[in-house]
Amino acid sequence: MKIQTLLPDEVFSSLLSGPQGLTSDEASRRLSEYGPNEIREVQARSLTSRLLDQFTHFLAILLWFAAALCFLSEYLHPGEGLRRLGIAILAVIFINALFTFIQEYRTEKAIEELRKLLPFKVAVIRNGLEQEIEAQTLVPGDLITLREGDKVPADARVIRSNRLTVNNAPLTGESDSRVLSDSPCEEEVVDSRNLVFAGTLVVGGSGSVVAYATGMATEFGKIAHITGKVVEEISPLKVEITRTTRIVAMIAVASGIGFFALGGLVGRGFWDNFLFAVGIIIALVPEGMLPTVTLSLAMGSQRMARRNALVKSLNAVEALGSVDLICTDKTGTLTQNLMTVKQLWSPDDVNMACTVALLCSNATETAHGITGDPTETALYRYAMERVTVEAERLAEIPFDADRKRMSTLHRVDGRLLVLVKGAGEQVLPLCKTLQQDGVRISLDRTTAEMLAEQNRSMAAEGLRVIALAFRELDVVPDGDLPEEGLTFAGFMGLEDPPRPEVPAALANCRSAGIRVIMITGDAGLTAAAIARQIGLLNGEPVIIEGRECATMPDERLREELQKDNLIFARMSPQNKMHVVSLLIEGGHRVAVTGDGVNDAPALKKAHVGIAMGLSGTSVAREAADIVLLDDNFASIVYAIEEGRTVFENIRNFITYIFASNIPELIPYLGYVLFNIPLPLTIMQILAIDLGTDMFPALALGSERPTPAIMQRPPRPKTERLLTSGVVTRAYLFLGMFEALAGMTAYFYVMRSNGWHWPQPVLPTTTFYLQATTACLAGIIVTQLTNVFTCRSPNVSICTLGFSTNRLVLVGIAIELVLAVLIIYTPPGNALFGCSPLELDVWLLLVPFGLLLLGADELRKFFIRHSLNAP
Amino acid sequence: MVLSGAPFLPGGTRQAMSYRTVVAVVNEHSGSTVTASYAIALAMATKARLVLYATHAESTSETILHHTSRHLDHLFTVALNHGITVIRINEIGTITQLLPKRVLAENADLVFYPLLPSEHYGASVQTQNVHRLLRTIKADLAIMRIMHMGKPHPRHILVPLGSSVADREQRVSFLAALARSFHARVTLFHRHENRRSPPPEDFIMMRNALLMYDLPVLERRATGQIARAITMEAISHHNDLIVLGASERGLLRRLFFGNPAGDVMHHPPCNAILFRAAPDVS
Repeated sequence: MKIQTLLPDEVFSSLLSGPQGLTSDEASRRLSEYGPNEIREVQARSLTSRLLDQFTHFLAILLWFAAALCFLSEYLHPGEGLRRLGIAILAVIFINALFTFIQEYRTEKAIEELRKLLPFKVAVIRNGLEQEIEAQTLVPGDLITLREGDKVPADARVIRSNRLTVNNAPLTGESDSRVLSDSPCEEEVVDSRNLVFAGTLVVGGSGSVVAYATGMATEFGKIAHITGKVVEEISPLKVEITRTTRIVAMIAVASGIGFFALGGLVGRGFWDNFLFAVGIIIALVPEGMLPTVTLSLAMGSQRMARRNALVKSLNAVEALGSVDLICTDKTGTLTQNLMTVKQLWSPDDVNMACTVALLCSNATETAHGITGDPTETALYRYAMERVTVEAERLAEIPFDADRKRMSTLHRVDGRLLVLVKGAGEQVLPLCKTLQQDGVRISLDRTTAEMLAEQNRSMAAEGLRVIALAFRELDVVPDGDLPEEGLTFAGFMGLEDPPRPEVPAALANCRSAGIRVIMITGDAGLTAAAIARQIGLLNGEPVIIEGRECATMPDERLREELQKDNLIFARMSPQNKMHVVSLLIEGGHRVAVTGDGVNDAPALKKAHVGIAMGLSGTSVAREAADIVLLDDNFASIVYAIEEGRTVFENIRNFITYIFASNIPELIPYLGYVLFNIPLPLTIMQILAIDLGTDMFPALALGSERPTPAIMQRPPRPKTERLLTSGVVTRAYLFLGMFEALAGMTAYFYVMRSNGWHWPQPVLPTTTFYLQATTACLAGIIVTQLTNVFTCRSPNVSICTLGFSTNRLVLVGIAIELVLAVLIIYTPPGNALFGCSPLELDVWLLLVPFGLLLLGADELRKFFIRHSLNAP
Repeated sequence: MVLSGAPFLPGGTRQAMSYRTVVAVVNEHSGSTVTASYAIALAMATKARLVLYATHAESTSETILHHTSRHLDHLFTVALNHGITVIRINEIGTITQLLPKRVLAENADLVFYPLLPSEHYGASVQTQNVHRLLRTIKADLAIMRIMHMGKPHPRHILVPLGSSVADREQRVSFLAALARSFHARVTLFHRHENRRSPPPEDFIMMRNALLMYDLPVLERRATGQIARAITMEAISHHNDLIVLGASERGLLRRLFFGNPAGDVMHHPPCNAILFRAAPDVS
C-alpha cells in the first residue's frame, strides 16, 4: 500500500484526516509529534567550535606551551626579554589560526538555499474553513489548497485536481511540467501523477492536496539530510599541509628537546637552555607557511576567476589540479544549450510543418529576441524564417511530461485548425492521413511504419525529434480539443550543438591523463551522438542507464567504471551520487559538475564540486566548491591547469621558506656547542619568517603555468608535497649557503670589533647588535637570490627569465624595504634588537648571494643532464 | 518465548514463521496508528491475533482520551475489515507497569511500541519509558520511530548489521515476517574498512538465512561513520524502513564510542524499527 495507490477517501482514512481538514487541536498535536515543517541542518558544527579547532591542533598546542613557559620564565627571571617572546609566539598562534580559519571557513549555505525554496504562507482547510497559516506549522494530514504560482509546502497527495500542473524541476531537474490527477496510480513516488513535492512550483490550474510528509521527511528534506550528512572529501592539499606541519613540528620539538639536553650536558644553566630550546623550535617552525599558502591559493582563485571559474573554497584551487576524473553533465556544459533545428523532413512541402511549429508554441518574440522553452524557441526561430502566417489562437492544451505533446486551436485564413506537436511516439498514433503533393492520403500500415522508421533514424543521429500534425475542423469544439484523426505534416530534428572549444579541451584532458565520464539525464543515443561529435568516444560507447545503475551490484558497477567510452544516461541525481561515491572509493580524485537542487549531495561528496553559474540552481552553487561562470567544460580544463600550477608553486615557496630555517638554526648550534654569543635572536627569526620572507614567497605562488603542465599525468595520490628531494634541497643545500653567509657576516663584524672566542659579550653592546644584524642581513641577501632559484626545481633562471614574473621583483623590493626598516630605523632596531650596518658588510654578503644562485644553477644543470641521459 | 517454527518447504525454501499474538500500542499520537498498521499487516500475513492496547493515567485529559479512542476505533475497524482476530484493551495506569503484565497475560510474542516524540532511545541516561520496556517486556519488541505517514507499507527495508549479530534467529524471523507481509525487498548493509575485505561471518549467515525464506535480498556496504552511512544509504537507495538491532553497548561504551542505533533512531530519514528479541530466548 502506497499513498499514490489509494483512492482519495482511503488517503483521508490513512492520514486520519478528512474533507474538512484537521481540527486546530489535532494540528497542534501533530506539530508537536512531527515537528515544524522546515528544512534544518542536522548536527551542524558551530562556528565557534570550528574556530576553536584552529587553536587546539598539534602545532598550536606546542606553541601555547612554549608561550606559557616564556611567561613563566619572565615571572621567575624578569628582564630577560621572554615576555616579548611570549607575546610574539601568541601572535604567531593567532595569525596562523586566523589564516587557516579563513581558508577553511565556508558557511553552509546550501541548506539555507533549500529553505528558501519553501513558501512562508500556505492556504489550508482546518476546522472546515480555508485559512492562511505559516508554512512551518503545516502537519501531515493538513488539507492544502494549491493555486497557480504557489510553491508546494510539503509532500502531499492530490485529492482534487482542476488541471493542477506542477513543475518538479527543483527536485528532479526535469523541466517539463506535468498535469496531475486525483486518480490512484502505481508509479514510483517521483513519477507519480497524483503527488506533489515540497519545493516545487504550481504552474497552472488548482487543486486540493493532503500533506503526508513535512519538513525533513519530505523528498526535499532528504536532499537537505543527505547534503548535511555528506562528509566532504578532505582536499589533497589540506592533507599535505597537515602532514608537512606535523613533520616539521615534530622535527622542531625533537630538536628543541635534544639540544636542551645537550646544553645541560655542556653545563649551561636551565633558563639559558630553555631560551635556547624555544629558539630552536621557533627557528624550525615555518610560521609564515600557512599565511603564504592561503594567500597563494587566493591568488590562484583570482586567476581562475579570470578564466570563468569562481572559486568558493580555497582548497579547491589545488584539489582541482589533482583530479584524474571528471564526471560532467552534457547539456550546457559540453553543448551550447542552444537547441537548433538541424533537419526537417516532410512528405509534402514544408509550409504546413512550419506553420504548426510556428503557431503551436508558447515561444514569444520580445525586444531581446525569442524567449521561451529552448525546444519551442528553436522550432519557432526555424519556422519564422520560412513562413509568415496571420492566425488567431482560440484554445490550447499545454504540453505536459506525461502526454508529451501540445495542441492548439487556431483560425488561419478562415480555416479552423487543430495543431499538434510532440514526441513522435505520441503524435504518430494519432495520425490517420498524411499530405503528399497537396493530396491527403490515408496512412496504411506500410506508410505508418515508414514514418516510425524515419523517426527512429533521426533519433539515432542524436536528434531530438518533434512530430508535427494538424486537423481541420468545421466548428469550434465545445469540450476538449479533438487530437485524433490528425494529418501528419513532418518531423523536425533538433540538436543542441557542442561547444566549439570542447573537443580541444577534451584532447587536453587526454594528454593530461584525466578521464572524462558523461553523466546525463538525456537518452543514451543522444548522449552517444554528442560524445562522438566532441571526440569523447574512442570506440563503441558503453551506455549505462539510471535504472540499470540503481539495481546493479556495486562490484559489477565498479568493473563497468573501469571501462573506456563510458556514458551514464537517464541518470537521476541519486544515481550520480552513487557513481561518484564508488569512484572516490576506487581511489580516484573526482570533479563533478551539477546544476540541480538534487545534485547538491554529489557536489559536496566530490573532491571538487563544480556548479553551473548560468543554468545552476542557487542550492547547487552553494554546495559546490567552484562555480563556472560560463557553464563551459573548457573552463574546467583551464582551471585544472591553474590548479596543477598552484601545487608546483606551493612546493617552490615551501622550498624557499624552509631554506631560511637552516641559517636560523645554525646560530643556535654555535651558541650551545661552541659557546659563542647568540648570533641571531628569536625576534630576528620572526622578522624573517613573518616579514621579509613573506612577499617573495607569495610572488613564487603566482608563477604562470608552463606548457608542460598539461602534458603529464595527474599527480599520483602517493606523491607528497614535502618530498625528501625538497627537504634535502632546502635544508642541506640552499640552507647551508645561507647559513654560511649569515655566520660569516656575524663573525666578520665581531672580529672587526676585536672580539675573540670565547670572550663573553653583553647583549646590549652595539657591535654585538650589529653582528646579529649582519647575520640577519646575510639571510636576507641570500634569500633575495634564492627566490630566483626557487622559481623552478630544475629549469634554469636564464631560461625562465629574471623579469618574467614581475611579482617576484615586487616581492624583492618589499623585502628590501622591510630590511631597511628593520635595520636602519629606530623603531625597527628597538623591536628586533638590530643596529645599522656599514656598507662593507653588504658588500661582503653580495658574493654569497651570487654563489647560491650559481651553485643551484649547476645543480639544475646536472639534474637536467641526468633526466635527458638515456 | 518460542516462535511457532519456520519449517522447510520442499525445494529448500523456508516457510514464513508466524507470530501467534501481536500487541500494538496505541496512543493519542497519529504515529501510533502507523505503527499499528505495521502490526495489522504482520498479523494478517502471519494469521496472528491482534491486541490493540492503550493505557492512560487517571488524570489524562478528555482530548487525549478522545484521540486515543478514535485511533483505537479506526484501527479496530481496519483490522476487522482485514479479517484479523482483534481485541482492543484500554487500561488505566502507567504503561511501563501495565504493558509487561498484559504481554504475559495475552501470551503475546511480538509488541509494537511507537516512540513518543519526547523519547530518545539513544539517551545516555536510560530512564525513559522505552528503556524500561526494553528491560521488562518478555516478548519480541519492535520500537518504532515514525517520520512519514505516507508510507504505511514499506517496500524497501534497510537492515544495518554490525560485525556480530545477536539474536540472529529471532531477527531473521521478524525480518522475514515483515518483508513477506509487505512484499518488500531487504537490503543488508554493513560498514567495512576495506573494500576487499569479506563481509563478517554473521552477515553471511544472516543473508543465507533470509534467502532460505525466498526473499529478495540485496547487500550493500559503506565506509565511514556508521550512523551517517545508514542515513545516506537509506536516502540514496529509497529505502522506506530501517530495521536496527537494539544496541548492546553498556553505559561506558555508549559514552565513549557513541550509540549508532540511538543516533539513527533519533533522526531517521524514514520510518525506523529497533528490534529486540524476547529475553528468555536470547
